[in-house]
Amino acid sequence: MPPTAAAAELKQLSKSFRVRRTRGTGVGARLRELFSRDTQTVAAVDRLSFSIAPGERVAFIGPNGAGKSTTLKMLAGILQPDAGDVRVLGLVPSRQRRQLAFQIGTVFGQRSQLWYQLPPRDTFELLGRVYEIEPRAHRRRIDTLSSVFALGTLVNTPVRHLSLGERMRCEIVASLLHSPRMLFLDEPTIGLDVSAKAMIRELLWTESERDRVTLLLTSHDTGDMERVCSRAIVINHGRLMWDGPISALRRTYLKAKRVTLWSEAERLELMLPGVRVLSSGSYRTELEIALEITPLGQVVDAALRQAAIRDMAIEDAPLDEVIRALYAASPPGGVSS
Amino acid sequence: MTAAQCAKYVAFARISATQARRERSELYGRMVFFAVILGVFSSLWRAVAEAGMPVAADSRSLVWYLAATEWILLSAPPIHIDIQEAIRRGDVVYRLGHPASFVVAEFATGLGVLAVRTPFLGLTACLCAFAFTGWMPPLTALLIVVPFGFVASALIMALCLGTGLLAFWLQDVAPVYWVWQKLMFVLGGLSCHSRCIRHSSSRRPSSRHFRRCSRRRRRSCWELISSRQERCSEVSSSGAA
Repeated sequence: MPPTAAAAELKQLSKSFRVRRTRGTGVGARLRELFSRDTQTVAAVDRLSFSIAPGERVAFIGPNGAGKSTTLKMLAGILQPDAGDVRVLGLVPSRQRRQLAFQIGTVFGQRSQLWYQLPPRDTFELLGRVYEIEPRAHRRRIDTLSSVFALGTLVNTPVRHLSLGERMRCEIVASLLHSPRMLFLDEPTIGLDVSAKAMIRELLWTESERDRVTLLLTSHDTGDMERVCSRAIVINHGRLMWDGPISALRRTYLKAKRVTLWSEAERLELMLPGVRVLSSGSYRTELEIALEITPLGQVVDAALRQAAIRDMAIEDAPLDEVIRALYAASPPGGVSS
Repeated sequence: MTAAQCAKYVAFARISATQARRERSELYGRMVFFAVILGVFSSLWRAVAEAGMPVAADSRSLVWYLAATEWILLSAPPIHIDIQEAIRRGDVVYRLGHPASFVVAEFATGLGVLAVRTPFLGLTACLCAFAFTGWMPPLTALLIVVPFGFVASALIMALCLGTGLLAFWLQDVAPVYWVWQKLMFVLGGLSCHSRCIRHSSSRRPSSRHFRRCSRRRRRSCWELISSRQERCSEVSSSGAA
């Protein structure tokens, strides 16, 4: 594959693992397992192809076991693909892992690279040596990022005394110290409270926008995707399900609007095709309307015939539901014995 | 390896030494454990000697010998467990993602811990052995033991590292660790002794060898080891000839 201008390019990338298969629960089956084992090959990533432009912020979505983390590990050079081609910033990760490591950063939400008993500053100093950064420039970078991420005295506080949100801010700073051109984030907001999540999202967006850092973010939190990313890549069973703008994902997969009506009547009885009453009572009715079947105006007319409408709110369906619909549409597969 | 590459591994050693200094409870725990086992063994060997049972050297020398060997073993950090846990938890993805050799970085990390533990446990060994025996071997002998002990601990750590790397395939390396530990015991300890004993028994009955040892209970264990090593080298040189 010739060098490309894309930040990351995957072509027909595949990775499978061999896992043990139990023969049964009986004593005989257990004894037989001592001498011979049945294994099956599970395709974690199955002929996956996509490309990411420099500076792009991409949400990499999929249910548990879809192959997201495996793909990230192949992109970071930690795992070697079975088949297909992958290039990140013009390098082949599995063959040029160390050169690539100088140009990429990784954040794994459920793992830590900070030394537990020591303040984050000690880990930052270590990473300065590991990434061969000139000491004065490294100190300036630590100061800059500490001020952007509002670390303040946290850099001198032992990691064991930090809250999860504070620790995650330090983890992201640690991943950005060597000014990577591409950042892989695996569930960076997992377990965080609402305000910590909002802060991390804002900081990621700002950092990416300012330094044109390409982001590839996996998360189960649709808020992360909507606030940080403009494009979504959805995979399931290791296969590509969707690749396009997040707004288009919503339009394509859920052609429904959620409408809340506040009426003069205590409850409204709207028996129209394509209209599902989600809740009704206390002068408030919540509806889900399939616009392809019944236009919004027809629903409002029907409501007005029953009572005066005091207020109305029209919303898109939550992204969670869009993704759930997308997962439901994907056929199971990827397992070959 | 360039200076920058060396500097990163020195940084790994330095940060792990700093962390080891902060983990005082573990260090103090090891020191207390060390004092307890030396206390138990000194009582045991004193009882053996008082009962008139045959021992290879006098009980004081044996306690110092145990202090030295346990110092080597307890100083070596069990990095195979660290690697195994890092693989299980998944933290290894960070370590593998750095632009540094994973194996060398792990070894440097272990050396940092070793650098902190060795002096503290060495001091504990000397103080306890002296307190339990009321005797000290010659200072020159102790000074010789120190660098060899550090190298031996580093060698044990390197073997632990090799065992830990197997966790990438085996998940649980405890069985491998126990096997090589027992092999080390058999090949490293017993084989040297058995060669010496076989050599002695070719000239006189083996029981007489032990009787001679028990008669010379006051003879230092250190002297005994060096004389055995001399005999071993004699055996190997005569075998080669």
